[in-house]
Amino acid sequence: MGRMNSEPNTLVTDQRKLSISPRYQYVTCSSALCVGCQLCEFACAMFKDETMNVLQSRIRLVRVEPVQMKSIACQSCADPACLKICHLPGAMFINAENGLVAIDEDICDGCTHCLDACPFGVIALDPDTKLAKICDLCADRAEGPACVEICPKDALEVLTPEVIAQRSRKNALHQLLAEWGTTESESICATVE
Amino acid sequence: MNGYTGKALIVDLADRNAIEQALAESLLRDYLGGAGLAVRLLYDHLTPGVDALDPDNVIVFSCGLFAGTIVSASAKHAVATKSPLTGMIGDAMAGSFFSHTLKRAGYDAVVIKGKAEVPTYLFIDDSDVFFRNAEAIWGQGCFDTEEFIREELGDEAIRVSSIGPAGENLVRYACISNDRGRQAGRTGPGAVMGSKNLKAIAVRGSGVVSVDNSAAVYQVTRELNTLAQGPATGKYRHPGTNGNVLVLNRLGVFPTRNFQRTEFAKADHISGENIYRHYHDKTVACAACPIACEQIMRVAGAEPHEGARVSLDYETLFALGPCCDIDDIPAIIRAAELCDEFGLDTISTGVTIAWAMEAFEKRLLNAQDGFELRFGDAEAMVAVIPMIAQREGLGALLAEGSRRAAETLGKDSDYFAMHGKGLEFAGYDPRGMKTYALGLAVGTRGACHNRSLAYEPDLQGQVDRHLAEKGRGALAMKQEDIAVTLDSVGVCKFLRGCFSDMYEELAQLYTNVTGWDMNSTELRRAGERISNLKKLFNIREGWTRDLDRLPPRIHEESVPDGPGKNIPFPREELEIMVADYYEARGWTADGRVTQPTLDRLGLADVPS
Repeated sequence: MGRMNSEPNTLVTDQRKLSISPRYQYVTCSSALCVGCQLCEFACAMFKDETMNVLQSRIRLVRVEPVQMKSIACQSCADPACLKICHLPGAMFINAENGLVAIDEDICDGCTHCLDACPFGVIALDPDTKLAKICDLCADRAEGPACVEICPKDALEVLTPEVIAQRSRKNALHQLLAEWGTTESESICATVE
Repeated sequence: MNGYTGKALIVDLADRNAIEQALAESLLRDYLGGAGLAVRLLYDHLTPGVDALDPDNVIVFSCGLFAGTIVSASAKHAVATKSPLTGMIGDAMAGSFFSHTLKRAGYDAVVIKGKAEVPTYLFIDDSDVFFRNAEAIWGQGCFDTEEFIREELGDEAIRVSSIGPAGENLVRYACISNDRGRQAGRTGPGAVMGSKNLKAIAVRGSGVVSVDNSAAVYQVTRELNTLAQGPATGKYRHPGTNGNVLVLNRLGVFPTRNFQRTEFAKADHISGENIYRHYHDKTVACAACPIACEQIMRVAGAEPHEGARVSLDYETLFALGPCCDIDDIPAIIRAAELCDEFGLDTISTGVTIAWAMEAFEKRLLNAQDGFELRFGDAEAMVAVIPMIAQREGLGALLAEGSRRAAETLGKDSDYFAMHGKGLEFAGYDPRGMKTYALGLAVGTRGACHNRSLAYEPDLQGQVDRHLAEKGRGALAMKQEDIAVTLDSVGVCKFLRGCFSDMYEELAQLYTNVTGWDMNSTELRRAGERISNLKKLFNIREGWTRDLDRLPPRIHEESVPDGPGKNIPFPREELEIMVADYYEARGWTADGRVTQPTLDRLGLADVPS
C-alpha cells in the first residue's frame, strides 16, 4: 500500500491538487495490521514535543487484550464537537490551510472541555503545560506524519473516508467473487448465471 | 541521569515499608540493567542459604536500560530470585509494557523482601507506594487479576505483573504474568511471590525517561526497525517460533515422548505453518517492538476446546504437544491457555507431565482415583494442569517439578527426568546438538536454551553438531555472554540477527541513551562479569561440580532418530567439554571462580 505522504510536502503544499477535499484527511489505523507496539506514540511525542513521554502523543494506542489493537488520532470531523464546546474564542479553530482543527496554545486555558467532548478521545492534554493539543498531520514536517513513517506494520496511513470506503467496497466485491468461486478477470454475470 | 533513573525501590512486605536506594553510575555501568542489575541487587540483599520459599528470600524486578525509550524491541525486564525449582539463581525475563511503565514511574529496579501478613498487591503509583488488600483476587487467574486491578484502580494504563493459583500454591515452576501473554516464565519466581503473599505488582508511570541524544537514537531505531521487517526476524513474524517444528524435526532433534524419540510422526500436522493457517487470530507486539512475535491462536468450531485462545510459541507447543506425544492442536491451545491463566511455566509443566506419562508407561506410577496420564492422551494432559496448579491428587507430586517428583517416586525414575539442576529441558534434543548440551550442563539457572544460546552454532552449522571437541567451551561461553548482555541491556534476543556487530552497536546505543562513554570491550566485559556473578551466587548457595551434568538418558541412549541416528553421547564427552568451558572461563578444574578472574572482572568487591 502506498503512502500518500511519500512525497515531501505533499500534505502541506500540494493538497489543493487532490481531487478529494483535504479537509477529510486523517491518520487511519488498520486494526488488522496494528500489533499494539506504541511506536506511533513515541514518534509523535518525539517530533511534536521533543520528548519520549508518550503522554504527549496526539495519536493514542487502544489495546484491549488479547486481540483488539488500534491507534487513533483526530478524525477530522465535519462538525467537530471539540470546536463547538470550546469556550475561548480563537483557542480552537479550523486551519484554513488544511481544514484541520487547530489549537492556539496562547489562548487555550486547559479547561479540558474539548477532551470530554471528543467522541474519539484524541485530544491530548500536555502533562507539563496542561494545555490541549491535537494532531496536525505533522504539517511542519517535510516527510509527513512521524507516526505513519515509523509504523512497522504499515497499519497507519493518511486517508480520506472516501478512500477507506473504496477499499471496503473492493473487499466486499472480492468476498463475493470468492463465494461465487470466480476471479477478478472473469465476468461475474457469466458465473452467477 | 539519562536512560537510567538511578533509583531502586526497596520494599519490605512485612513492615509495609518502602524506601529508595540510589544506584551509583559505577554499579549501573558494571551491571547494565535488566538481568545484570537484578542479580547484583539480589546478591547484595539476600542472606545466603535461605530457603527459596522462606519470607527472607528476596525477589528483584529490574528494567532493561532502554525501557521507556523508543529503542527497538527493548521492553524486557528481568526478575531475579533464589529459585524454588533449582535452589540456584532464578533469573527470568519477560517482555510486555511493564518495564516501560516501571521506568517511567521512576525506578530502574524494585527489590522485594519479607512476607505480607495477608494477600496483598503492591501499587507503585509513580513515587507513591501502596500496599493493597488482595484477598478478593487471591485464587483468581492471571488474566482476571490484571483486569480486576486495572478496574479497581480505574486506569487502563496501569501495567500489572501477577501470579495465578499456581504461584499462590507454591508450585515450584509458577511464573509471573504480564499483559496476559508475556511471562517471566522459568525457575518458579511466581512461587516466591506466592510465598510472600504478594499477588501482583501494579505500576502507573507517567514520567519520562530522558535520552542524551534522541536524534541518534531515533536514527538507529529506524534502521533496526527496517531490518526487523527483513530475513533476520522472518521466522518470528511468520509463522512465529512454531516454525521451528519442521526444521528441528528434519534435523532429528525434535524431542518426542519425553525425549525417547527425536522425530515426531505428526510433525507436518503440528507445524508452525499449519497451525498458523488454521488457528491464527492476531499478532501482537511488546512495547516499542517492530517485530511482533506473539502469535495468538484460537480454536473455532471444535469442541471441547471451542473458544480457547492463547499466545502459542514453539517451546509451549513442544512441551504440551510432542513431548507428551500429543498432536491434538485444540487441546494444546487449551492447555497453554490454562497454564497462562493458572500461572504455570509451560515448558516445565509439559516436560514434568511427560515424565509422569513415562512413569505410567513403565508402571512406576499407578492410577490415582482412576486418573492416569498416558502418552498421547490429550484430555488427561489438559485435565491435570488445574490439578498441578491446585496441588490436587497427582498434581501435588507434579507441582514439585520433574527432579523432586523423581526423587519422591524413586525406582530410578530420575533416569528419564529431563532437567538440568532441576530446570526442565526446552524443545531441542542435546544429543544431536553437542554445543547446546554443554550449555545446558553448565547453565547457572539450569538447563536453559535461552540463557545458554548455545543451540545457535549447532543449528547454524558453525560446528559439527554431533561432535564433542575442544573449543566448544569457549564457544558456549561466548554464546552465554551474548545472551546475558542482551538480557541485561534488556534488548529482546529476537532482534539479535539485526545487528552486524552487536557489542559495538549496543555500546553506541548505550552512549547515545545515557550520555556515558561505552565501548564494545567494556560491554563485553560487563556480560562476562554478570555471567560470573551468577556463578558466584550459585557457589554461595551450595553449587557443586556434579550439578553440571545431564540426565542419564542423554548418555545411555544414542540419538534415536534422524540424520544423527545411533551416534552416542558418552558422559566422558560432556566431561571434556565441561572442563574446556571452565578453562575458557578462567575457573579452576572443579568449576570455581578464581581470584585472578574476580580481579580482572572487577568482582573483587563481591562478598563471598
